[in-house]
Amino acid sequence: MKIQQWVRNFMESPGSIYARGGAAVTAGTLQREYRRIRACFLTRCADSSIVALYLEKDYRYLLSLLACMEIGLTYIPLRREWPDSRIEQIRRLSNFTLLLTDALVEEAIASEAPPVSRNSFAIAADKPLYIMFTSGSTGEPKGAIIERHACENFFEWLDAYLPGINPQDRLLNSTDFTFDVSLVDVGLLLLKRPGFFLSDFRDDFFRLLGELDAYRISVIATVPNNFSMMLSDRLAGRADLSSLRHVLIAGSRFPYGLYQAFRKHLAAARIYNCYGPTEATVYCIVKALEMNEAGDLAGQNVSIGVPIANCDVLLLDPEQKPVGTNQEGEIYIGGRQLMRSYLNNAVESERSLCVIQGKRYYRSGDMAFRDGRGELYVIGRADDTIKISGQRVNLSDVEAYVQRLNYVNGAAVVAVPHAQKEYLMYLFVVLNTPKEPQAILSDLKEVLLKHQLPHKIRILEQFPQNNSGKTCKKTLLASCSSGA
Amino acid sequence: MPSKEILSRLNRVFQKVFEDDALTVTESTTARDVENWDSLNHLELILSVEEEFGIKFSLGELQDMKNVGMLAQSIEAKTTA
Repeated sequence: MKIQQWVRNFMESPGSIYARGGAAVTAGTLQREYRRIRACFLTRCADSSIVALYLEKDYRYLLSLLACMEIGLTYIPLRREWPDSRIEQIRRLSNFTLLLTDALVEEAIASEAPPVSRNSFAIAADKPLYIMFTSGSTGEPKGAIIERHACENFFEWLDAYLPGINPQDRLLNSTDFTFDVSLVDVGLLLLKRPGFFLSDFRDDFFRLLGELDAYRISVIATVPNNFSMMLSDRLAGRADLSSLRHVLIAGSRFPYGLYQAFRKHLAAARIYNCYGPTEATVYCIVKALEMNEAGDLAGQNVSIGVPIANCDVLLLDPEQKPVGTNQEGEIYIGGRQLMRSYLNNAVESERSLCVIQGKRYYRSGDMAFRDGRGELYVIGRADDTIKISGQRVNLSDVEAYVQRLNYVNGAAVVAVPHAQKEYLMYLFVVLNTPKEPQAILSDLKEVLLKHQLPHKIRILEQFPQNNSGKTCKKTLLASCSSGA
Repeated sequence: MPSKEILSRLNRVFQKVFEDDALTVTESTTARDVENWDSLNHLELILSVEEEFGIKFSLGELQDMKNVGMLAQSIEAKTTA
């Protein structure tokens, strides 16, 4: 019931919300539109209904999401840019009751709110709050069912962990509501009430820089790649980012080069390296970086810190036995933020969820080690190893070596099956100083074994990203086969 | 209206960035009209234009540009100022 109360408290006296483009939305408008969207749900849905939010990303999407949270309606966030085929897949998988479109919201807002006979639906702590779809492995998206208590745990942790954020702060919501990191923004909005700016980013880094600068943003939760680009030598200095006070980074591995860039360009900001799959709600392991190497790094791996409250993290070997200090193991996550299961997908649920000593865990597929202080470091994926000439090559390992070159901002390695060589390894790099592929290869010969050397090197201005803002290795792989 | 010379030079930058020698842009061309005009190429395009013309756009200027014509006009204003 906590979320319900948090939303009610917020809507009684809404904080400052700014629509895409930066225009402030008045409290009266927020409350009026909220009441009508809420009434629309209460009249069209039932206790067990699922509503799919299929709206342009703006403040009405936020209001719709908050209304679901308050009245106990399970929602699925969708993105307008997604192809119809994906929406149809989700419709088939979830059998959602209502597809909330912009037209429907417009209609609800234009008309008087109908009288409703109830104030909310049946709410229990284990009722699904939302179902968030992630990429599957078989061409079908997987819907992680997150129960209300899981999100409540995460919001309560946010509240306690970031006491310095207050209504004078300005938060830029840069991620889509289909990406779990957006829940950081929603939680902070409800519990800390910073000014809430909806970004019009659309993958344009100049625009993101412009918004951070123009709105004097002090809080942002985003993916590493965005800051890798904005702080690269080619873009650094274009905007005044001195207002940034809290930068929460998650979604993929924190590059060493980014760590150095933060030290160089954003020394006054507090940087957090956060880890957590959608299946464990949002973050479940977090490190407030100390910005000194002894406190943050093991070699050039950036610490993700320790589990947050009520999250249980194990590092296990392939036989599900605990590994020792500094030994590599797969991250298993249990505790209050663990998803219920994948929606109507017993095969994937069985594959990803297991019971160890009577407790449920999610197998993340992420490999990590724990240092002597108990801090965790992600080093790659469990399924990220290939064999070339009979020898094991971990692609993330190669990436880490490449990222140590001081002219490299980021690196991604993909392997393409090859008839003669078993695999062709392609190295994609983003540089901060011009360099020819041959020169890069010469440098790599200094640090890599022969079978670890990439067969082809391609220089990019920036990595392609998927919907979550992570480096899209599928796109990189496709470019290999197309010869692009 | 931007000069023909600016549009011609801009066209060459587009051809190079999008690796398409047959690409022809006009003042009304937008990102929707050019294949592969994604975030990667957009970044490269702006940086390449700046390099070609020896100018630097402000973030505000970039956000106001809706098509190639506006880009060309901005270049013209900066190079003739």
